[in-house]
Amino acid sequence: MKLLVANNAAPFVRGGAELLADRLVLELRRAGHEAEVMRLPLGNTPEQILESIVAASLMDVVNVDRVIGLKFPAYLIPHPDVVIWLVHQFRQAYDPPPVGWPQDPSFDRAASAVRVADRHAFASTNRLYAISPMVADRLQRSNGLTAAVLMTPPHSDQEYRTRTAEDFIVALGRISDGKRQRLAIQAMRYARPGYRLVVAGPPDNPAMLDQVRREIDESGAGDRVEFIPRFITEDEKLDLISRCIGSVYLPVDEDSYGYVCYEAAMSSKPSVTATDSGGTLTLVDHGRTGLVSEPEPRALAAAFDELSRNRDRARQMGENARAAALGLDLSWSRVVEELTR
Amino acid sequence: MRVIIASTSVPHIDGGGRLIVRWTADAMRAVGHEVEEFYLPFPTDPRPSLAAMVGLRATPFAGSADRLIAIRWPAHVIRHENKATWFIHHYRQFFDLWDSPHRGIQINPESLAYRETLRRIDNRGLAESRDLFTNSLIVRDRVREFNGLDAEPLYPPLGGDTSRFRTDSYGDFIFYPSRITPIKRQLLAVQAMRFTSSPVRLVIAGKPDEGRFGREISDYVREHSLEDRVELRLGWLDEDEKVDLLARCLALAYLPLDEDSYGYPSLEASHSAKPIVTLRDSGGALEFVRDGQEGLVAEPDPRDLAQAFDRLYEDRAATERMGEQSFARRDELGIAWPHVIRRLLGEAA
Repeated sequence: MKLLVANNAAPFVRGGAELLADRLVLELRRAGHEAEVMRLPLGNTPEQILESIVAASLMDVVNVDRVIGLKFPAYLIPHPDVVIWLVHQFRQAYDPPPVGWPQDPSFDRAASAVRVADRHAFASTNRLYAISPMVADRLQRSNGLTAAVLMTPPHSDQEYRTRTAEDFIVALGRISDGKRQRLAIQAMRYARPGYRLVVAGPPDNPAMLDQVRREIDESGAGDRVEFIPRFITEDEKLDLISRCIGSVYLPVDEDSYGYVCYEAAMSSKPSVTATDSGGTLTLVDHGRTGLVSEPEPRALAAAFDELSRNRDRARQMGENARAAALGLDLSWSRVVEELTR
Repeated sequence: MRVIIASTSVPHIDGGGRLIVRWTADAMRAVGHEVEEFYLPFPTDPRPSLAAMVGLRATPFAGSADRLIAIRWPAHVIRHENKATWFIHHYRQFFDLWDSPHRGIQINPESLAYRETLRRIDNRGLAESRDLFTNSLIVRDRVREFNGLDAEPLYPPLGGDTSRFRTDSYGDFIFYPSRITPIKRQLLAVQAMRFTSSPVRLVIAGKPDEGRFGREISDYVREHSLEDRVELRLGWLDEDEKVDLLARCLALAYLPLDEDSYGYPSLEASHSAKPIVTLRDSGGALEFVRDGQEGLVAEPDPRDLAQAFDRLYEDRAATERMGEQSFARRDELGIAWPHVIRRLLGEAA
């Protein structure tokens, strides 16, 4: 089959959706299909969003059997066979501020155009999938549509390993406000003695690096927080996870199940996440596969303490987490099969 | 500088049209620019709808880079506050092929109106470009004729690591590497081999576009018992093998009919310091090859071409001198990435 994977683009920015599109193309090719990515700029201003709708809606795509649309506005491409695998909607047009646009006539016009275009695209698509239960829920709430959940497999196929827990909890991932590593550091102020927090990952920007360093100084728990502010290799990462008591991952309202939680689970380690972390709840079931805490330092410290104090229980939750992760049946062959059937 | 190169493409067709974009992007990255390539689907056949053109123009690139470079028709309609267009050719059936047998379009009020609309769209996209380049003098002249605009010819260099090309010897064979297709006129080169008087040989290499023409060439070789002197390598030519043949050949033949640009085989010959045989009506190659300087320009006739082949074989001193001139010609014409990049980014030559 000749496939076009249609994604949106913010020039010079690469994130999770770009990785996902590239990987999908690779997997489609491995399965014997012809596939390539098409990136369509989304623009920034409400006027540009309107233009992007025009650009996508008038695109004339030939020599393609099926378009796989990932994001707005790319899934608006008119084609007799479009399958949408929704990474996320254009939330500015749906959610209340601050995620959504402020109430303003110019924004309202663009927001209503986005909704009309979405309604049309979702109605005419061949099949509609969402990358996570979270995205499917939002679609249900905002558009009254039911999408099948087809979760994204992890980017890399790893040799996960499990070792006896050493005395630390690990916080992995890009260091950013959205991932709230600072909250985990603040929690260490209230943590009982007996374990450390290891924060590892590349800071989004130099300012972020300074903020985290200051946070560590101010926490008064500097000797109990190890900060590795750089990109760590897959091997370093898996090694850290394999030796930890548990992993803490506190994104704000994440769309997907969170690779960090998945990697911890596959290494038979429990995760601590927050009640407002969104998709992470797919894998973190409070008391069974990890702990779900209020996004607040004292509550988090209590969760850390609990894992550290009761290692047998933590290990049991880790094993449950691994079973839950395997139960998601995340494989690229399944994704490819669904999207091309 | 942050640069967007916007081009059009037909998905799943990775033709030469993408090479110039990829090479330009790579060459810019190599000198420290941040470059993003965009290939926007755009059908060229059957004739594109005006709606698709509106869609292309609507694409919101404004504000998202320091410079946008539009390559390949009709990417020049894309809007950007600092746009440069590197114009490769018009929608040919409606312009330069309009008065030729290749038009393939009925002249009627509708097609005339469509043509006029295309012309106005081209005018708009080209005129609003901060800098306007073409890939040859021929296309520069066409832009002047059809759009009344002055463009600067900017010759596309070869991409990748060109240090792989070398000069081993000036052997006994003329080498013609190219897609095997009627418009490249490989058959004419084979026919010429009936009229040569020296022991010169011919090696033709390339992938046939369609079985028929490749077979026609093979049949001709057999019917005229040219097997000893004409070697056919019909199929995909390995890059190392091509470099090797270029290094050892006497000269390169490049015989297309009325092409817009000099063609990448000419540049490969130049990098290998080999003279180029081309024809009076080959088009862009004549901007690179001057008769007796970078090679020989023959009439599109087997006997005249045969004489050119013989001359190259018999006067090796002249052949080597022309090979050296062929090598030097790129510098004279500014066929080098530093120059091309400076101009594309709006800097002085």
